[in-house]
Amino acid sequence: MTRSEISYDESVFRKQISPRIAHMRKDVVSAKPILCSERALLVTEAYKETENTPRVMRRALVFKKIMDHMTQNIWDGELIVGSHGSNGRRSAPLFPEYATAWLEEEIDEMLETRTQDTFIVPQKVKDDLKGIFPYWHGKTLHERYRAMLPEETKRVRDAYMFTRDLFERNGYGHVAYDIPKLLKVGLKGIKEEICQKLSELDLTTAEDLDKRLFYEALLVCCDAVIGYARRYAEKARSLAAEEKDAARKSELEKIADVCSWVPENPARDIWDAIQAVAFMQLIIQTETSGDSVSPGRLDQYLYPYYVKDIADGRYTIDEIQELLDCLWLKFNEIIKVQDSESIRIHPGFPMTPNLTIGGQTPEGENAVNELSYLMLNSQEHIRLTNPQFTVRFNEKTPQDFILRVAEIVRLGTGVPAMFGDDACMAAIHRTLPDMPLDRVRDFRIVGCVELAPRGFQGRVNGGFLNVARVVDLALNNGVDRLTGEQIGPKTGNINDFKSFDSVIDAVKAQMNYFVTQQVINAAVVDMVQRDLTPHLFLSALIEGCIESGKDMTWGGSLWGATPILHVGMATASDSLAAVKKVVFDDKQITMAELKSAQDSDFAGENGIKIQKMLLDAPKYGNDDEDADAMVQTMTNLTFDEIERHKDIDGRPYTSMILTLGATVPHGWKTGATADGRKATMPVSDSMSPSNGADKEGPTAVLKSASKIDQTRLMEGNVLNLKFSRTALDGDEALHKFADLVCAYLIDLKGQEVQVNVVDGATLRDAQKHPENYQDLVIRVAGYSARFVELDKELQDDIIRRTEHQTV
Amino acid sequence: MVMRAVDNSIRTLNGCIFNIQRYSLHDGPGIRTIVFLKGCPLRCPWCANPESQNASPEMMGSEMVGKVVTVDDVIRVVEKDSVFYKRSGGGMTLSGGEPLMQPEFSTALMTVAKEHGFNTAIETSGFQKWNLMAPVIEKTDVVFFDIKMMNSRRHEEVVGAPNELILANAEKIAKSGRRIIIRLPLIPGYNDGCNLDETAAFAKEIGASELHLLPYHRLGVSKYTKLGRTYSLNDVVAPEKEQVEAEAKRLKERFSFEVLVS
Repeated sequence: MTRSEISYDESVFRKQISPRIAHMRKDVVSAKPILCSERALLVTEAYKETENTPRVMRRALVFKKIMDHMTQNIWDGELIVGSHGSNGRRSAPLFPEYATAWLEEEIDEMLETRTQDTFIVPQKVKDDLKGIFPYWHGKTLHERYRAMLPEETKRVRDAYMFTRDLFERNGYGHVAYDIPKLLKVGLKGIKEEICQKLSELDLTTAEDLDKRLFYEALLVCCDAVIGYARRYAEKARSLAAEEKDAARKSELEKIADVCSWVPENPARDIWDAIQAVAFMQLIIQTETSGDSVSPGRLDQYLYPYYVKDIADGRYTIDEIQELLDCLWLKFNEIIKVQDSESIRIHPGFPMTPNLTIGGQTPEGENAVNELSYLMLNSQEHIRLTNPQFTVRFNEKTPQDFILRVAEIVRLGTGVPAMFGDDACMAAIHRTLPDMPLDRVRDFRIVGCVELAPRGFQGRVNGGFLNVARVVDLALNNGVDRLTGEQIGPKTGNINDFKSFDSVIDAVKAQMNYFVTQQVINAAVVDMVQRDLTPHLFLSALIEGCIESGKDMTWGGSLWGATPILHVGMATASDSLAAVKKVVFDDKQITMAELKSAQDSDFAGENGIKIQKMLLDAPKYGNDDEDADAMVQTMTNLTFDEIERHKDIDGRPYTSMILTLGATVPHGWKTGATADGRKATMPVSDSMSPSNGADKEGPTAVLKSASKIDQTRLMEGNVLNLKFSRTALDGDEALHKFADLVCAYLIDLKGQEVQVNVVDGATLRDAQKHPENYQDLVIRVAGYSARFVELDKELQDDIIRRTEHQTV
Repeated sequence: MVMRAVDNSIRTLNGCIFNIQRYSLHDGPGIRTIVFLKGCPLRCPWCANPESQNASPEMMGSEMVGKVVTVDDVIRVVEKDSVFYKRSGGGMTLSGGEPLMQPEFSTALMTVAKEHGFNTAIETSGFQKWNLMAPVIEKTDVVFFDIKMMNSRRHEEVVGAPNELILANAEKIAKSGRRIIIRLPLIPGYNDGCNLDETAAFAKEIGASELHLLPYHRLGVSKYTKLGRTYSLNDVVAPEKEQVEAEAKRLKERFSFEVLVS
């Protein structure tokens, strides 16, 4: 084991939260999500004013309108500024150009009363919106998409075999834009580059005339952003003039100075740079409704500024810590509203601005630096849902950094998610073999877990495909078990299956059909996005777009790919493993008996008996050879069908094993499955074993997961582990936890692992439903045990202890 | 000369185990797998694993406890986590029951584990003839050695055997230079009071590295019912954590010796 030198001086780099940040944090936490109609009104007005303008320029003028008029706030105590609407700190803007039908349905009641992701909707907002809805009828992206969708694809989509809600009703987002370049050259430099390209065009060709429109639109966007920042500078200056408190007055003057300089000009120091990041996060997410806008490898590109500022004595470490904390808070102010169908899949307001630290430099050296540690402090101080926070580990990552990360994980916010460099780079290399190694090494995480090397823009989210249901259709000749409808191809009467191979052949045929339908659905969405909603300002910050004269929705980025997300992977694989064992190997029951048990949802004595046989069959997540061989078969055949396709830009389709909340709605549509799961129950989560199926502890789960060919997951995967707080108590436990994670990420070449540290409420639920918590390891005095195996009395004690410690 | 590989015949030796637990963290260094061997010569009334006492498989409620397996069967499970041992310096711990009740089986397990480069540890009551025990200990990196009571007569009354052999074995292990940690299951009314001081003095004198106090708990009570046996310690109350910590601190100061609460 080689480790680089330990560099971390706790006394210098471990920082407490400052009173300013604690106060501001309270303000952010207490702010309620609220709708704001400002953007919707501005956009509508701008569209009305530009009826005859070419579409690309029209989008630029719409953007300019927003930038020129959007309300600006500077909240109490802020050092880094930028706000998203006119209704306070968590004010959600609206994007009528994408979709309004759902909003018309939900505006009066649903948004305020639904069970999750509720918003305050002031009467004025309701009135404003009702005034503009008629204008948008027939003009939105969603309506265009539905109209263009072929009937057959529409039928499958509406049967909920797959979903791509997010991009059917929203912009793309999901990108790590080129912020290092912006900091280096400023929008001024980017404008010069655009002007240079403009001057080289051959205006006798249609192609270059198109590019001319694109470049001119980009110039309008860049100027609009510069204007927006200057407006902020004015605002700060006028507040400074009125300010009585001398200290705050000088802060406001500093804010004015910073905003009058960036993002137009190259950042002069770390304050400028952090403000530029905050502006870009906000503005990109105002241009379109796309989320998962990633600030990238913040500890890397801010580092030169940090080094210089410390050397020059410009700022102290404490001051820099405070600026970072301000940025961490800013990530939590941006919020958007989604329709009730989408939030089933993305509950909890996930804006997922993913920020990556650690890992290696483009040259392959350890990249952990002082800022990496300060950013871990920020996470410790803020502890809210954003940013989505990632650390990268490799063999050269300092042990003290890994342990400090483990400490932050122990806080129980589920972050940072930990990624293994080797596995991630292998996956990128497999999908994009021509990409130079320095770009691969410079990968950052976008959204939840998507791998994004430098120069890559993934059209992340080709949609969620319910693979558990695909397998079930193969076991029912294409007939939906719940509705009796023929939704898949007829792949053979199950009674004619003479061997397990025929089952696999049927699964392949079903998979082929549904993946193709899903690719058609995604292509239609992408065509409409391309036509109606180019992402212009964002494209100015994506490597390749200016060079090629193409927007990111037209394939302008240097590299790209589109993933399909497998939902219910373990349910699917365990179903096949059970069929193989119970029907074909052990011949305990026939296919017909299996079918009737599944059709009846395991009713009656016989149904229960068959369900037990199925549940007793090998399950993924136990480091069991048979079950894990089946998960390889299942994932490989899915990868094969997906990788056959190209997206509309001619770029590869790839895979991602991530479900978010999709396990629940996709579960509702899935009848009883052959792994013994009852009808309408959730299907399995991400790369995790089915609920309660893993009985051999975390090392077995990690071993099983490592057997999946993760080089075919260019867009990542999620592996959840659950621990109680007590299981991570003390230095020894922390070291062993760090070793567990590193063994998976570094030695077993796993891509990602994230940890839930469980609270008392979860433990109480575990008492009520032990079947769902088989993998829950807790610390009992002096040793660890699986919670569900303990006496009620002791469980109660541990719950009390856990709750005591969370206070 | 080629090093002789582990004699294949030891891989086919049979033994009786009742559990293998992966990802165990508190029975030796690093990430470990514990193999629980069935059968114990002592009958401690506070035993939290009463199903471990009989040497053969038996029913506990509706569940069969214990199965006969080969050394290979066990090692196949243990080696599944090699990658985690290597990263963390962990390995295999033999526990029980009393692993030394099956000395040949235990020796074989430890020998093969060492062949694989795993760290090895044992949890033992030390009640076995030295000539049968020594081959196991020779392949063991860390010995967790239980001493229930220092007074032999009382020891015999409560757990069913005198303690001279146990104490002599502890001393032999310590003298051999092997890392030995003395463990005392702290049962109020049975072995607290001056027994604590005597144990600490003994541990220090023989050159053990630490003394661990294991406070009494009632985890195994429901198992007695399932086995159709009676739990005789119903009147014993689990000690307060603070109280045990205070005792550990007192002993540590009195004997200038490392005393911890597990």
